[in-house]
Amino acid sequence: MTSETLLEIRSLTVKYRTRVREVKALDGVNLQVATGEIVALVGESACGKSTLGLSIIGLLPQPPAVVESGEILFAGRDLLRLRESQIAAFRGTRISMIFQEPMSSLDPVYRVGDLIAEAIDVREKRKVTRPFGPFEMTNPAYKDGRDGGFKRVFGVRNPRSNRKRAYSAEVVEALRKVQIADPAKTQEKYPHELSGGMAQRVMIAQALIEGPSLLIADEPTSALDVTTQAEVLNLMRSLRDEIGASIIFITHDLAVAAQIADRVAVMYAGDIVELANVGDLFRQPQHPYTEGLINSFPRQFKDEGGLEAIPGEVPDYHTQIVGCKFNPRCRYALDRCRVAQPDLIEVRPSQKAACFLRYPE
Amino acid sequence: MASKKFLFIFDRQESLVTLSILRSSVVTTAGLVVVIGFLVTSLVLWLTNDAILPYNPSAITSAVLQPPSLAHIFGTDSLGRDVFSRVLAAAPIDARVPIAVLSIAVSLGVLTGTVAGYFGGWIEEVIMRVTDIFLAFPGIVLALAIAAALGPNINNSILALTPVWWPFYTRLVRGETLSVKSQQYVEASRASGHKSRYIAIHHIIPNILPITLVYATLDFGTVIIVFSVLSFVGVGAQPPTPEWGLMTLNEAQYLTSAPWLPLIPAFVILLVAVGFSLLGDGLRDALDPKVRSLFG
Repeated sequence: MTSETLLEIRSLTVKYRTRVREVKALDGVNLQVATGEIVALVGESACGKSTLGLSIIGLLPQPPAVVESGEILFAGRDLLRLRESQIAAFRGTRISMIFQEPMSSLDPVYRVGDLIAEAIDVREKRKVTRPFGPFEMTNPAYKDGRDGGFKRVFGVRNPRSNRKRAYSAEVVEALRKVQIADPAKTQEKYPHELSGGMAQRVMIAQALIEGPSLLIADEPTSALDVTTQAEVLNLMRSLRDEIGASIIFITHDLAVAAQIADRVAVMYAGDIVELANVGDLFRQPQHPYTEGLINSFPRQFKDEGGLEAIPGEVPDYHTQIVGCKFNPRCRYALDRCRVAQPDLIEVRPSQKAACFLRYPE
Repeated sequence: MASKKFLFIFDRQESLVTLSILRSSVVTTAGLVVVIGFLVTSLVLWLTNDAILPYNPSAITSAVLQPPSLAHIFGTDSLGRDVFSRVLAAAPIDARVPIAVLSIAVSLGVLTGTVAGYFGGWIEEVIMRVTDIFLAFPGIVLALAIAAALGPNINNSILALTPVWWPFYTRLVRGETLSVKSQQYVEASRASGHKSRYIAIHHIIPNILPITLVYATLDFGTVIIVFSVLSFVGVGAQPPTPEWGLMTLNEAQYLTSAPWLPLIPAFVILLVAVGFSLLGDGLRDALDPKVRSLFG
């Protein structure tokens, strides 16, 4: 990596603990994300992708989730050591997240403009500094306020000082940035009037207006049809180029990962099994699981006589597998694979895999 | 954030939208007319202290049990009092009790219900067990007991009726909060950096408020009726006071000889209760974003 590291995850282990059983969702995951980089997390359902995303932003449902060990270093601070109020101060302005279902991620009672204004509000409030006791030093830009200051009535912000009007120009600009055709009209709409693609754009606008340096996108395109998907992916790439934020892109779809990512981390049963630049990964997959994923994927102009499925299925979390977790499904499995677990080692520069087949002799 | 807007009363544009939706349906308009008529009459009579009534509602005369005529539109009762004046004079009292009871019950219910549903844990346990205690008594018995203990007057009736109503709102609001809380937009709001209190105020409450308000309008008539029962038993409004329930029940013995005496106040109660129900129904539509977007 040439540019500096923004996020570093070190041997993160997360378990879901219920009264009857305990399952390991993440098993010592290591991952680095550089500034301005797009990393795709790819894997089948329930391989720990979303758990990883949620633990970075501190939104793991605890309980049942328990972070057993590890560190998440973001801009030099370990997010796991922070108190809830401290990590809440990171959300939105430093780390943002967008979700899979764009429709249900927008509060149905507010108009689009209000939803964006709400995000601006978080950002503006964070600029407020409170140096001493009862005195409140307010950021001048926020205070005199684009609508002539927020008058307080009995200590409550005067609802008639219409902040939507105050932020209107910025809201329109944000909507234009995510390539919404008619921003002035769209900001007056309710979420249910939007199409899936539009709603996802609004979510992206909401997440990016706070100016985060890391965006976690949890399957943001899975609910969209293919053409809209491509548009949203292009949009995200161009926004990344524009504002230089890093993106962790969670998806189960290799094609999507190929379109958007700089690097891809393939996850299997709570482990990263392969981590490589996107080109290398597709040209020369090093882990049998990655190979299986690629082979099970339809390709144009290449008649291979049908698609290959990976035999077997993702292991049930309660069954403990000894050795490499992929070994029951692996066609190359060695004796060694059934005994010990391989580490993620560098196979070639910029390509790592966790497989004994790739171990130097 | 910008949108206190949805609380349709604060914003001119949004309240116009609400009004145009309400007026688009004939039955809702009828309900709206009844409710506004009732509230305006009450307010005017309260402000003028009954000075504009044709007769003194408490003046006893010798012209007893007169049938409706031009001089006495609704006739006179067994003590020769003008029924029309008495029906009107009762409006401020019959508005005051349900408005007070329901505002307290709804505020308390929204507050405790949201806290219980959103924060959960021991605080939820405490709040819900307290509502269980209140719900364990039959409503009317509880109200009678409190009213009897406090002494018969209208303010005490309010104090007696509120404990009967608030636990229902707490339960309703808690249930709604639980379902709103699991929505993705709550998670999204948290991810964009908002704190629990902000989310409770800006996402949970606006989403549960419409159904709560609809419930409150539907309850309006019931509160009047239960208040009337308190008056009838003698622990609510006291006899010379004009009050619809009291008038209906006291004059019930004249049902065959002078049927207008019990029927007119009974009909007025019915009218107001139905008016509020119709308005509540319309309000539910008007507060639904899907309907709102059709009206601009």
